Amino acid sequence: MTVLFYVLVSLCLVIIKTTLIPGLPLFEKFYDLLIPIVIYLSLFRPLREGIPLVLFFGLMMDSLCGGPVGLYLATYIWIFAGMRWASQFLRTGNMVLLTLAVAIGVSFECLVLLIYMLLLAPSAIPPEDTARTVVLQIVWALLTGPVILIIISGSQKQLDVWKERIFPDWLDMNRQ
Amino acid sequence: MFSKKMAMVIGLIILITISILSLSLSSRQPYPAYGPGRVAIALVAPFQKAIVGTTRFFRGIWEHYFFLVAVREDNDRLAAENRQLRAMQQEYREASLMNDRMRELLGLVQKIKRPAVAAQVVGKDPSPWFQTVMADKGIDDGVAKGDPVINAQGIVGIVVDVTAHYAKVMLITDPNSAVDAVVQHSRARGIVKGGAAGYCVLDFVLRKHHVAVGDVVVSSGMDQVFPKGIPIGRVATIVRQEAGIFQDVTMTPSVDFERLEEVLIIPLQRKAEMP
Repeated sequence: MTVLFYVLVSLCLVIIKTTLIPGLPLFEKFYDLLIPIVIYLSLFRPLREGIPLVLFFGLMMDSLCGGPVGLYLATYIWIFAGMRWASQFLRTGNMVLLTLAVAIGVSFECLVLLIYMLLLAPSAIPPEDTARTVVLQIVWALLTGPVILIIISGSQKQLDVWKERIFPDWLDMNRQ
Repeated sequence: MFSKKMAMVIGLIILITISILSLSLSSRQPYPAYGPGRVAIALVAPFQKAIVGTTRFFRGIWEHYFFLVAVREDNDRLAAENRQLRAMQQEYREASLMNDRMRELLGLVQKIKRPAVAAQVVGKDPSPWFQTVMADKGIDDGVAKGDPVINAQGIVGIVVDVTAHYAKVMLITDPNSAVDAVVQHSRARGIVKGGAAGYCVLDFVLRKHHVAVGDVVVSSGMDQVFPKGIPIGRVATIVRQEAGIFQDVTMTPSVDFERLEEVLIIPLQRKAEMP
């Protein structure tokens, strides 16, 4: 149920990102909305839920984007693994740290894409407005990242309540 | 002296005469300004007035308040009708604009003399780093990977991925894109590559070739993908370095990618299909 929920949420976000957001003037350089979800999954959800979802997100973005297959998959896996590793040393409940985590995730994705364009792509050249794009994405991430994380967290709590009501026996069995 | 019968006849004659005379006299002055009529009027009229006034008052209430319910219903119905008509008008306007664009595409198909598939753009790239769009035609419509995509304004891009019903089109503004091109005026050759958002660069233009700002850049046809002579854009800036054999040329694409709605995919004639 949780996996299905995140799959549906990610599909909705990607559809919004590819249809509505490009028409909004201030949002043309909006960051990848799946990054906060990847970070939330890495910090707060078990591996058995996080790994298949991260793989799904990566493959979905790779198939929709103009980049090579595996670019987003690799990026998400690195973000997922890196954040999970960092959560051993940091307090994951702190909202400031979570905001920073989203900004770091977005910066990391930009870095991976730039490295791809500079070193790996045969003919690709980084766009001339690279710096502007990176800065805008990080600013957007800092501004909206916490809101998205709060929404995901609230939705997850509500989902857990519904799961308790709908499948109480199954959840008890899993706990045992 | 007179018999009873005779007296009745005389009485009848007198009554008839009086009637005729009185009617004749009253017809000369039909509305007497005095007499019992005025009293009757004075007595009846106030009641008439009161009754009529009350009736009118209640009729007024009915017509202005209770009857307004019906008016309100009428108003709601008319407002709904108005909304419907406005929506229809908007649809017709949209259809008319689409018709114009389709006419332009049709003209282009006749110009390039090759079979083409008209498609609508249904989505954009989720990443700001890559410039692709999703078109609503795929393998079932004869579209294949590598097919060129154009519209009435010029070259749009190339199909990089295709499913049964959809095709992913890499725009010429994508960093991975490359189109063999010539400057229309001077025939200087170069490769058009994606640059910043809204701009392209024309690489490998030799310094010895004259290129001016505003020159039109068209496809050369040498890449065996795009038909020859399709507009790509106009030269925006030129920088000639002191050293080096090439000049740095940036150009504005002919196609307005922000408002890209319909495109024309030109299926390439593959070897297996050739006679």
